Amino acid sequence: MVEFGFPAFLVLSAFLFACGLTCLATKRNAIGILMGVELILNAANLNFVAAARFVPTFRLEGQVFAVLVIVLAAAEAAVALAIFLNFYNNHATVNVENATDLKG
Amino acid sequence: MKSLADVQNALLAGAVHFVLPEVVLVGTACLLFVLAVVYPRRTAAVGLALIGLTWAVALTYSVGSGETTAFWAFVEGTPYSPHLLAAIDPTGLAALIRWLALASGFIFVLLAWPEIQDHNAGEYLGCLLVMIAGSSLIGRVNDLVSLFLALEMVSIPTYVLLYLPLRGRGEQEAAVKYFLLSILSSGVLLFGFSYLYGLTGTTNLGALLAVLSAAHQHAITPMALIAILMVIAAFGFRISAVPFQFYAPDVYQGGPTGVVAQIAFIPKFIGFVALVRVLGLVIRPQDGLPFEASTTLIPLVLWVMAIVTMTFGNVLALLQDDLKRLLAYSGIAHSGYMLIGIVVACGLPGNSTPALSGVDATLFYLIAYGLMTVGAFALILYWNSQERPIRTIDNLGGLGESHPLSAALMTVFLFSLIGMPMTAGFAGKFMLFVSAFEAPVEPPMQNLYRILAVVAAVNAAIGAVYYLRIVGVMYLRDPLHPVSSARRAVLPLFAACLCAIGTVAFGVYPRLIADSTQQATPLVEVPGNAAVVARM
Repeated sequence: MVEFGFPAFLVLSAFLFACGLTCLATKRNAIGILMGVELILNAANLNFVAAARFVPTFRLEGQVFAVLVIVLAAAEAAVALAIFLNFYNNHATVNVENATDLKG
Repeated sequence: MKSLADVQNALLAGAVHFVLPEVVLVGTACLLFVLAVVYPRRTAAVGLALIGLTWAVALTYSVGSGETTAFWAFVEGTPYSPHLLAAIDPTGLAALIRWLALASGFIFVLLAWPEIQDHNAGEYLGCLLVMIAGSSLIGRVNDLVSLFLALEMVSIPTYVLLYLPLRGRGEQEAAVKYFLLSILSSGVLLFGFSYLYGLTGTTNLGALLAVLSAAHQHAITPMALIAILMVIAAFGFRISAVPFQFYAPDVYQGGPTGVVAQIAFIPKFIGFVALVRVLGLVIRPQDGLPFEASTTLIPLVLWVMAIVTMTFGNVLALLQDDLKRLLAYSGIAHSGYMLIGIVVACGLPGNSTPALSGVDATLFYLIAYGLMTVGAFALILYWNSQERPIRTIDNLGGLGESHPLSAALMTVFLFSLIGMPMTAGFAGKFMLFVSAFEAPVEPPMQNLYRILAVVAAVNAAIGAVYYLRIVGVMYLRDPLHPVSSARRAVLPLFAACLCAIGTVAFGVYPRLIADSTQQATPLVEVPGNAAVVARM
């Protein structure tokens, strides 16, 4: 089995973060944007867990933080879907480009 | 002598005593969510929310300064600094922030009254109490985990509140926009936090900053810089600083007015307090500020942000006709003013103790800004009715005749926003400008600070144009619609009166608040090397 070091995880998380940002910038579908946000949150989680795993002097805080973020992401997704469903009921779409009532 | 583990365990077990009022608030919120199902009545929900808030106030009052004594007692006889070990730190800013959060809680419950109905009162007020608990926690968290939790305790209820009271197209659009951008800022903040944890191996804020400061004596880590820039960007969203301000006008225009009043104050409030904590401006490591660019690059970034933010806000506010949109741009401009204090505090050399440290001026201005902006929203809420909606500035025509008291209150708030003498807005601007002008820094930076103060003064003059335009419309223009005789909810008017009293009192006698903001922001120096040892 190949053992990867800490830097490999840092590169992976940076890549995930970039993917998430790209997703946010290009997607027009609200659910797609939510997915991009989840990518960013999980990139941060990966950093926390990898740091806690690879640096021996570190304590458990990283893993605790990651668990907390997973719970928070679930809470946020629940609220998000409620908001999007509401939006869908009025606009019959979840395309955020249709959200153009407010201007000035 | 107690060992390190003993002290840590005692602090962990004792932490719950430092958050009792917040526990009461969240507990009341849970009861409200249950009440909303079994007995959906507006009066019952408001009553329960007020009981919870009063209980929290009573607890805060009874604790008094006992918290700080108890906090230091944990480490008595040991060489450890509690700032480097505890997750909850009740010293410094904590008490003032808690009082502010609770006071704003009462005002926001009063503002909520016209917007809630029986079927959503419980959920609305429950979310509001969780927000208040979160913003009160911000002043005392000393750990990245609890800091992030407190920030989310404010954000998630805000999403719900934005679409709860009214479900028209505008509200939904505001909720979707606010949600997507707010969650993005949470993600970026978290990513920055993960780098900070990876660099230092601790989530304790005091220890983390001390380790970073000690490390920067010898080498430069670009990752710390990336992390802190991400954190500044994320908080820039909360305080709606340029270039993270673009959501604000749409959300303010579309959102329900009572909730917009909350969004205008609470995120800015927690954003500034959290920024001050993470930049190490309250608990300052002995070796200097935690980021190697703390006294050069970071003040410069914030300097540019401050100037662009205030100018952008003021210039675009000139073009607005929609009242809430105008207040959104005015809020952006005021964030720019408040950033001045942070710039000053960042740039101070380690051993200086000027009369105004910058952070206290920002805190004072935050309080003044909260009073005048929330007061203005309270009056919009009071005037707004079915047959005479208040959307644009022209809708305010003739109010000086038909509603002399409320028009006079609005004039007080607008004069304070302009920064007329004898109002809190003037005292706050004065403190900020002086702190920038008198900052004891080296000549090249000193000139930059003076430019900052001058730009801010010019901006205050630009701001006067659009605020005075509102006053002019209220008193000189004929009403567009006949005056409605519908009964109005008096609670928002009462809230506006309280805000106006505060605005004038703190303007005439600024020491009332200035003393407590100065006491709340001493620079607590924590030993740098001990942190590294304590962590092992």
